[in-house]
Amino acid sequence: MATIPFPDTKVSRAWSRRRWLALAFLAASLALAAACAAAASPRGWAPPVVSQDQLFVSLEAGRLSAYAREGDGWRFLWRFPPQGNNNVRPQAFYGAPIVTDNAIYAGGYDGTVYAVDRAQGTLLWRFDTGGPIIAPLAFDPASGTVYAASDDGRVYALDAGNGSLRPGWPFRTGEGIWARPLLDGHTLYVASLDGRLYALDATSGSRLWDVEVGAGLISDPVLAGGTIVVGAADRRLYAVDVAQRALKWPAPPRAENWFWAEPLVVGDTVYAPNLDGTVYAVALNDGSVRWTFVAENPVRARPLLAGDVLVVVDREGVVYGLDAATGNEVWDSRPALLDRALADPIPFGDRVLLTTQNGGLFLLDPGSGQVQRITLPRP
Amino acid sequence: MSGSVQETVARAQGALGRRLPAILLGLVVVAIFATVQAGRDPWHTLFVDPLINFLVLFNNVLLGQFGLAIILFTVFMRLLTLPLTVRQFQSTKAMSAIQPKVQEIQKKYKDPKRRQEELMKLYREAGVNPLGCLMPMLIQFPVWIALYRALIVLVGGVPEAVVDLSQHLYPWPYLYSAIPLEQHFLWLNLGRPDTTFVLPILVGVTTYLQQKVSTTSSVATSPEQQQMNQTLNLMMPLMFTWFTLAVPSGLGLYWLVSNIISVGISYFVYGRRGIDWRRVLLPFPEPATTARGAGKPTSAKRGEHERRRRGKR
Repeated sequence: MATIPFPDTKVSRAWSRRRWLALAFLAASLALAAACAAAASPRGWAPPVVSQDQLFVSLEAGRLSAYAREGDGWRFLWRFPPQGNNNVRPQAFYGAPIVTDNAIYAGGYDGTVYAVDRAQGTLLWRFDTGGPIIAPLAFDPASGTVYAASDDGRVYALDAGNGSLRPGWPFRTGEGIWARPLLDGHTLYVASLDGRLYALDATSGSRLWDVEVGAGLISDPVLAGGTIVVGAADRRLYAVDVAQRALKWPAPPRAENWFWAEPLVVGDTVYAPNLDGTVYAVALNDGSVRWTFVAENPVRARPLLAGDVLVVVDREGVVYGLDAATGNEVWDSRPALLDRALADPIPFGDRVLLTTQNGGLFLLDPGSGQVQRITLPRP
Repeated sequence: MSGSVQETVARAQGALGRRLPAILLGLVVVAIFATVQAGRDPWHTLFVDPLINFLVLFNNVLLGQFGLAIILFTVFMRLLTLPLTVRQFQSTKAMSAIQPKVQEIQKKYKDPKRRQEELMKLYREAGVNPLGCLMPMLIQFPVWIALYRALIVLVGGVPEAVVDLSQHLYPWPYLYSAIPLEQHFLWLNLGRPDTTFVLPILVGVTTYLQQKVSTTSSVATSPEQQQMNQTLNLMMPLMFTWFTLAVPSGLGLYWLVSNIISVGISYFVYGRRGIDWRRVLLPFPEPATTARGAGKPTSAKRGEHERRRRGKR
């Protein structure tokens, strides 16, 4: 005789437990994966660019947006890559885009140099390098050449019109390159993580000379009065005399961490922020430290001189106004930005534009330290 | 005379071994207190930063091969926590050995209070602490979590992670001059997920083996526990395969090496005969009894038989 099986309460209880267990694991896995993925995903720290009343800014990871000035506000123009385009994935932009009359050039963390139509935001051409692009691009308007340094250790010279590689390029260094190539006339200076500063012929890509610094060069180099100033991974700030092709300072200043921010040179003073949270004012001629200012947090962004005030932004978004001559604090914006800030501040009329890691855009009055959030129209 | 000295030494070693987790826990509590008093973040100061700097040190010693550094570091960390892991496995093994008696008591005594008393008596007589397998595991948890955090900071590879990393390095030129670390190892970019699926599959397979070895070596007390083991055996490999697809390969490499070491430790603790390899390699457990094979011994029975045989020996 056939019997109808009754539900076994023990089995159903066990099944219920299994389901709860499975759900708990699923939730835990989602949380861990999200945490790990968040920790590993690039966000970028490209500063905005303002050109002819147009604003080009990357407020979302791997996206570049353009806005036009309208009265006191902004009008959305385009976004690159456009929504739904899965073939173009720059991941993140670390360097400010190069803006010309017709095109925008930007290096993506996916290792690709993108040329975008300035009016429409459409892709004009792309060029793939062999590694992520962290260094900002350099541009020579005279020859129409875009220089891109990649983490694959190579410097590429591209025709700005069609993205083709110039003859004689790329130039290969011993390690990755995270610093912007520095163009001065017909010479391109490249600071590499292999610890050398290279001087290249900007046309042919051939090496003119190089200087062994000793430790990986990490900051964007800056040229002033025949001296190139650059920060290295051994926590020192180095100066290279271009004419002598040799290190200039007998005792390069050493900090507690890396000089990753591009130094700012004004007159005979180098303002160099450090990831130890200190801003060093150093004499350009001999490297002696004139004054220091200690911020609350590490500083990765380049400082900006607005009038007599040196504007410094630390990693946690605290903005300081310093007396450029003495390093004394004039004001601070605490707690204005309430977000991480790694991008360089840029001048905007008599104000300063600041961006934060979570897509905040701020306008700073360097006279008073007042900060105002800018709300851009959504695409 | 020498026998009594040996006995004394053995007793002292046994006492130290029993108290080792408590001693370690006490030291950690004191260190945390001291760090807080010094105004520093104890989590990073005591756990994450030392691990990060050790990893960078290994990287330098191995000539900048960060993949090898992760492997060596994993082996080093597992060796460091080996006494705790072995204790945990031994406690699990001892608990498994008395499971038939536990089941007997659970069947025999319906009154929960009496049942509990009898169980405690059994544990006392067998010299087993039911929480013995938990304590070493609890102590290892902070190490594992700190290790994950250290690896995520180190192999993140993205510039933001390098900025964070700069805050964790000790002020020794030998360490901080080594940054950024070489991210390529074999076919892997240690800072990015492995898109070839090789590493995720290897991690999944080794997690499965590790789970099966640890669950087949113990006797499940009830059908619920058996089902829970079954769920774990399937869920854990799937979960870790999925993780490995999403996280930097450096972390996947750590899991792979760690799993292999865990299987090795299980083999060392349970012995060749203690692990039922047929059950390990079968994706699903064989049914307890079948119409045809009713007389055949089940795996659990075989395990019991094996234990008795070894007991006689």
